[in-house]
Amino acid sequence: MSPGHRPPIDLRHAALAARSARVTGLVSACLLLSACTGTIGDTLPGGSAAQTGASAASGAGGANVATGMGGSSGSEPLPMAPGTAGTPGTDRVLGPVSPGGITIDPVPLRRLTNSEYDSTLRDLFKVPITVSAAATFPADDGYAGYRSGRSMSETHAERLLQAAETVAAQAVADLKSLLPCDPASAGEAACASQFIRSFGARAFRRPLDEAQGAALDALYTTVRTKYDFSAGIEAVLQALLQSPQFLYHLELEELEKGAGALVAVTGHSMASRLSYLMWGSMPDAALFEAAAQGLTSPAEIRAQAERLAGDQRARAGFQSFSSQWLDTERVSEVRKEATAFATFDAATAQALRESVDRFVAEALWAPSRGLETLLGGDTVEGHYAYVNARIAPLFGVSSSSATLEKVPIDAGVRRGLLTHPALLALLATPSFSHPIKRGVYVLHNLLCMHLEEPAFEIPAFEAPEPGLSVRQQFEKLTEPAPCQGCHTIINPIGFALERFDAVGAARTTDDAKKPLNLAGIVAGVDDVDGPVQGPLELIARLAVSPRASACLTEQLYTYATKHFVNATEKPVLTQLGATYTAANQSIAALLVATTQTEAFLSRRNGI
Amino acid sequence: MASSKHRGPTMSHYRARREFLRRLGVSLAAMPLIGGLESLAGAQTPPSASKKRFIAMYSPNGFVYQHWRPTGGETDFVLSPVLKPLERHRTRINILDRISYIAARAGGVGHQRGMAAILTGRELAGGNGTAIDAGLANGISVDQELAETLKFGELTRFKSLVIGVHVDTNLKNRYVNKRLSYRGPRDPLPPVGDPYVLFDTLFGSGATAPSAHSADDEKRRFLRKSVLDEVQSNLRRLQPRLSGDDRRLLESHADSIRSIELRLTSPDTSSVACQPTPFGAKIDVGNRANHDKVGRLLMDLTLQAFACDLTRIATFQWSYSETGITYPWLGINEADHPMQHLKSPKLATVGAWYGEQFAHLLDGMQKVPDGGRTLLENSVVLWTTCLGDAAAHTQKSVPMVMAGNQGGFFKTGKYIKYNDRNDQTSLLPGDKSNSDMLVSVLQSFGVETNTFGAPAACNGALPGIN
Repeated sequence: MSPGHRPPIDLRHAALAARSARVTGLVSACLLLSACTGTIGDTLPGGSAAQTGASAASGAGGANVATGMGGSSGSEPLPMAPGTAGTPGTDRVLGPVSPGGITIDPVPLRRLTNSEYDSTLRDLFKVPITVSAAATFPADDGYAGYRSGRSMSETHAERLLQAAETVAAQAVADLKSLLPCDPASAGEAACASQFIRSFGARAFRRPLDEAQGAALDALYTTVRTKYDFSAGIEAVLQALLQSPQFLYHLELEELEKGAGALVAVTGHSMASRLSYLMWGSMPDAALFEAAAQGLTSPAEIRAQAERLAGDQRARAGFQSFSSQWLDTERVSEVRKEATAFATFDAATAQALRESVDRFVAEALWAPSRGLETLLGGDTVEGHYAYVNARIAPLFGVSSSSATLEKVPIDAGVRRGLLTHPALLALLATPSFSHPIKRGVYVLHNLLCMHLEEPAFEIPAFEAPEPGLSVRQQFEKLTEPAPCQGCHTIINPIGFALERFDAVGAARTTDDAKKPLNLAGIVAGVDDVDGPVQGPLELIARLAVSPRASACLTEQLYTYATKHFVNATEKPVLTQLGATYTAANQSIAALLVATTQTEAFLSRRNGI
Repeated sequence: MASSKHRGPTMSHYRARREFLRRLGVSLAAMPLIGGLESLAGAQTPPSASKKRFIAMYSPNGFVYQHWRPTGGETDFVLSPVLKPLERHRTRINILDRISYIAARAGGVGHQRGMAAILTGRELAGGNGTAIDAGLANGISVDQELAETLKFGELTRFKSLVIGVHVDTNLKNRYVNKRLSYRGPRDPLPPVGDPYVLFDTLFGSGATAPSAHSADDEKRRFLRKSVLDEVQSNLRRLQPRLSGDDRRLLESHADSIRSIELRLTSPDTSSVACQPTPFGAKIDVGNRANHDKVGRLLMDLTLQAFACDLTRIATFQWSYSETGITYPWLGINEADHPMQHLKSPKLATVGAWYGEQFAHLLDGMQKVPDGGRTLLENSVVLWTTCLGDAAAHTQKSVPMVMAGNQGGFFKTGKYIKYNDRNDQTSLLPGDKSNSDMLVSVLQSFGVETNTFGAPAACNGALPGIN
């Protein structure tokens, strides 16, 4: 597994140069005690950033919004090459760079994530499947900030084997619904062969090549010679489900164009790109049909993208993105110290996770003002939350429901995502709230200001003095000059969110039993800058922040294209952001627009 | 080949095993797994002097020196609170003080540099210091180096074990912090963290149990073998179409399948008495409040695997660098990493708990007779961490304990201070690095080398321990 995959330098010199420039400027970045959860180090907006050294780095990037892409876009000559005319889809093999001058980097091969594996199995079979990869397989590793699957081990292969055997046994229990033919009338061998090619094409998300078909025919024959027809089919199923063509996102047709080639992604590879982006699962029949017809032009691809985005299944698919982007997938792991929060248990964490995911989905899928609704909480139905009896008290409301129900909340206290107890509990320790974690979350997840960890050794701390407020203690800890570059930015945001305790309940005194002091001046974060008296003013500015909108765009683009965004892609992000705004923050529109980008429409084969 | 290969398994052995597996998951009387070790090892084959073994145990985030550092001299040392649980093993350990992770001094962040370097002796490769792109170790780790070069895959059923207790949290961020073993540069091995899965793998229910006597078993086995053959040829057909890291990923996959096929076709080399002692009531593996219990099950299974000679190489990782794990079973509900920054006095208790876990590992190995010695005497067992001073997060003076004699190769019973100048940034003559320690480990297996990891960070084998 190699998240650090580095393509040869000639393919992306601009990005590499940008990266090295950026790292150089970051030496003064610092973060104390924030669990080393990150430090500001990247290009900060518009030079207004850090008063100290961090701003030196931002010179190159100027007002870069999307800091994941390195800082110096535009300062490097783009690797333009002659003969690159043409649009993706019409020329199978493109020139060294895409027509738009965007550098397309190789994206490492990855396997289906555990959740993709589970969804794919469910869509593949008509009979219910009881296997769950998510429950029994090794965890997904990550790449470019999202779940990937770049490792394989003996244990993992063994789990895959067992899952394949279990599923195959379940499937052949109802041969009739599995097979496309009747072995009695069609002949066993002919029917097996037909099954291998029809079912195989769905499992591999593309027609089997000749060698593959022949190999599976042979496997069937080997087993049938010794056992019955059903055993032969069972063996074929086991093999299909352990095949790399099933387990990995292999873009075989594009790979045929050779190492290093820049290729338009079409047909079956494009169908899979679309279905896994939109639904987190394999293509449906209509998409297979479109793939067989070509699926070559961006317009055809757009039409399919629109169809998929308009389907209910897109909600579930999107949650895979949003729960990673916003870290809500980690909420179910949250536990609290029993002495401080006796009633907070696994069921609480699980209810919070479901509550926040439902809120996120409804807000972002609203027909308009999606992100604004997510952050500001101001929906057409007013301010509300999903609660059950267990978690209602954390919101300051009551409920006697065992399952989640939608109830109004006090908008004078709580508005939107950042005040949801799921996140506030996540961004805290087991016993006390943690303003640094909260500040870093806003910067990193919501504003895409990627924080870099200290490049120097952190001095030893003795325990903070007693008698100080929590805020004073953190101010003291982050007082040394090298820390200030980042902590002047992190701290005011985190302090404003001290309105809520370690499980997200509103309060009037901090964890040291001192009165709250929520006021501060947010600085260094572009359009969110300015004085705040407490969380609601911060949230009001975040909700309408163009930078936050650009961040969502960058995150979704990264998730869709599975790579570290490079400097040449800045114009793409700008355009996507404009599309999102023009569509009045419709997430469906953004998803569809993302499928029209060069990085989604093409691939660079590895070398 | 394992020397016991000639001894074929009996029917009653299989029946007992299958019966046992059937009952697994049903609540059985809780019994410590370790209990049966002597008897099962007693049933083992005639001693073979050449068996050597390696285990590395990792505990997270370094130590507060005052909690860890012994006082006194080389042999009359007085153990610290953290090392106190090792008192009963004091003649079987060397306490290695002031060894530095020299390869980890440049680039990246303390946790990540340290974690990457522990068993690789290498710097971080790739990455830009941010959470999502933190880089990975730039080379193979010593356990995999041993497993590969000495072909342990042909000696035992499992080439190596890679175990980790609750290491799979949020892998998309700071992945490097969560991995200890590497197949090669930027190619970490995912650990097994579920004792029920490990049990299944080692003592085989499903996937590779060698049992095949009923018609059903026979059929299952035939299908499995035929299918794996096809999967393997499929992988071989595909590999040439890929390049670089992508091809390596499919190679890893093919290697994994090959290991499973080997287990499927090789006879069961474990002894009749080598039956796992059953688990007690099933525990919730995912819940980090069960960290101690999950870890104990994994450790006991690891011990069983060694006692049964199912493997001779293992890494065992307690959570990960920068972990926020809490210790509710010690009455400590604060998160580890922030406590380290604050040099919390509670870390003495935490460190001593890890000391007890290491002592438990040594207890288990000392109990098993092995070729006229004990398993421990024919092994080298490390206890390592990712940082030196807990609060400073440095890679110098990283606390380390090395136990076992590796068949007489190592002399034990010493507290060794390697140098007192720990502030330099480059390797000076006389300085000792973890790479040097790893060279000693390699040499103890008869590997003829004077260097491992980054050459500039290595001065040759550690003195004073042979």
